[in-house]
Amino acid sequence: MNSMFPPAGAASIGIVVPVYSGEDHLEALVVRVAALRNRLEEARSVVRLEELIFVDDGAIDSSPELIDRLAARHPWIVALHMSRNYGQHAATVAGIMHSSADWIVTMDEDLQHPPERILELLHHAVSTGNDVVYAKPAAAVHGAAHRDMTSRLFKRGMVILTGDPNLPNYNSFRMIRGPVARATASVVNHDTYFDVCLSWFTLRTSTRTMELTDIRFQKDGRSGYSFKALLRHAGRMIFSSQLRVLRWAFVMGIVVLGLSILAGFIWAGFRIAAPDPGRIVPGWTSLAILITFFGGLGTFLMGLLLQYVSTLVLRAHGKPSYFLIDRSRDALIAESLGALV
Amino acid sequence: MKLLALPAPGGAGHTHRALVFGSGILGGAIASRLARSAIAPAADIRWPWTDPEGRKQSAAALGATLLAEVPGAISIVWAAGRSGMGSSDEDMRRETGLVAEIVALAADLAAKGREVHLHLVSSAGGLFDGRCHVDTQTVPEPARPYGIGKLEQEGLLLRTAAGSPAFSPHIYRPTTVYGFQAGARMGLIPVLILNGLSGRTSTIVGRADTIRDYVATEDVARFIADRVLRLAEPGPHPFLLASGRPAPLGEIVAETEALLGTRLYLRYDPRPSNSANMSFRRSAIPPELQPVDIRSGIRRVAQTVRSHAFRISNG
Repeated sequence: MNSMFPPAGAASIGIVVPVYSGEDHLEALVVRVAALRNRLEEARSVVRLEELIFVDDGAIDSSPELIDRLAARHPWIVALHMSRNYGQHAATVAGIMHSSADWIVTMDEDLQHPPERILELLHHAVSTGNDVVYAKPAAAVHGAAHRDMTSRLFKRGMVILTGDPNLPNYNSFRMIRGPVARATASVVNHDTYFDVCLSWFTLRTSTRTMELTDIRFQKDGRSGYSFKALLRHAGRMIFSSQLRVLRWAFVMGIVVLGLSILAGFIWAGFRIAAPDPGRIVPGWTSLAILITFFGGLGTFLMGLLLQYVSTLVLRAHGKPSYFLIDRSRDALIAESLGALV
Repeated sequence: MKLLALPAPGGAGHTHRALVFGSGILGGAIASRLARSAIAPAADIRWPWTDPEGRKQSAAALGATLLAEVPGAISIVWAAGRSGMGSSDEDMRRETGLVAEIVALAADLAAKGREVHLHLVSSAGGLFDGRCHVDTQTVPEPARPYGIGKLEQEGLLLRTAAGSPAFSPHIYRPTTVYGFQAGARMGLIPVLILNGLSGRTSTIVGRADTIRDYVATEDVARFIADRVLRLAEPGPHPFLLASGRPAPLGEIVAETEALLGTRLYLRYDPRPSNSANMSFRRSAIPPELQPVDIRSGIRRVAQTVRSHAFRISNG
């Protein structure tokens, strides 16, 4: 019974779990989360595990009924039902929007993300002053060389394209400061990538290395991401990032334009110094320089235009001018968690 | 105050009377909801709020009228009062005095053999100021005069009704109610919309990350009116009328901007007096309350505000 105010400086944790086909795992997940919740209560920690939010993303098994039953049994469990399957990304956002916790953990339904490690993520966040902490697998999670290599290549390619060095750390097992998570979820839409949007509100992200295994993939060899899903994923990342390619085009345009002007001066100097071109066919050099000049000018203007459009797109996507944050309770939380992790 | 003649659940020929105190946004919405089911047009009765002697006489006359009419249940809805989070002890004492008069009227009618239901609209915000994850088991520990006064009013009703089996007390604790009614006091959402439409600056006495639970006036009014019409039994505990969906102020601003297609001019109070988070568990919300999602709710308010602005600009 919540008959008293939480202790001064208390912090709450909310867990968001998108559900698609989790009937075999959800009961076990609740037992483990409940154990963690009890552990915190028994330790009289200032940290409380206040909510576990299941988001039924048009599940294909009996998970919807199961999460309703679990929510009826435990008042701290919330069952949300999406009208259709929108994907894990949208389900995560919906769950975050229903959480009022100070810290929000997002995790998968199938226990590949151990709830027992949540405190470790939180402790890492508050003791290092970070707003987002991703769980980083200590080793390859799929246990299949080709699958892990595809994943690595995909991430490497995306880093090159987007210029976001944090991208390889993105993981669905993450601890996010509540206000940052909610602000991000408020502006994110179906075209924007949640983790990229997180960087609009904070650059204080970190990772915590831990053992993680994709149990489902190891069991039946199927990945959560089909090739089509991977492409959709990539598209979202690209459209919510300010592409590095655009900057390259812009810079390349300036360089070519500069080179063409320089070449023009050199050629003009040659003509003045040696009016008889000798064996050079008249007109070719000036034509080449003019083509280079206008090509460079076109690329430069196109790069400028695309940069401008991309700024507008990001603004339309909700990229904020600023965001304020309060990290004053971090030290207290870190101290309280010290004995528990 | 409005007096309505309503059908009673017993079927044809059975009626019951409802008195709705409060012409603000919530009182107005409840009365209008009840009026849809009324068997006769609602009667407007001027209530002498500022005249204690006049109120005494009005209450006596009203009691006599109700007792003289055909027998049937009497429902009284209290959705009046001008208090808010910034109210002083004195403001709350005055309001509690008014509530006490209505409770006394209800007790008197019950003592004379009538089935009386008193529906008291309290405030979740006042009672659970600065609390998160509030549920039906959470004990209110109000910090400001507003919440203390509201808790006192609830206690007064429960204590008075406890001695009379014919007197049913119903308590509702709505969270941050939003909606628009011309002339009524406005909350954040209609203010943002109105200022957004007219290009004025809105002052926000919270932070962009301050969490509130917004519930639409129509949803609260429908819930209460349905219970009045059904002559429902009181709940085992006060009804928490929330959406169960915490929303940061920043989201409300972003939604309003997206809806109006313009940036809002805002000024955040650097020392906000009302910036503590508040949230309510979904498990605590009565299943009959089906709150509209915040996005649709803001859209609905914007439509009402726009049509009001259109009517004004067209005389």
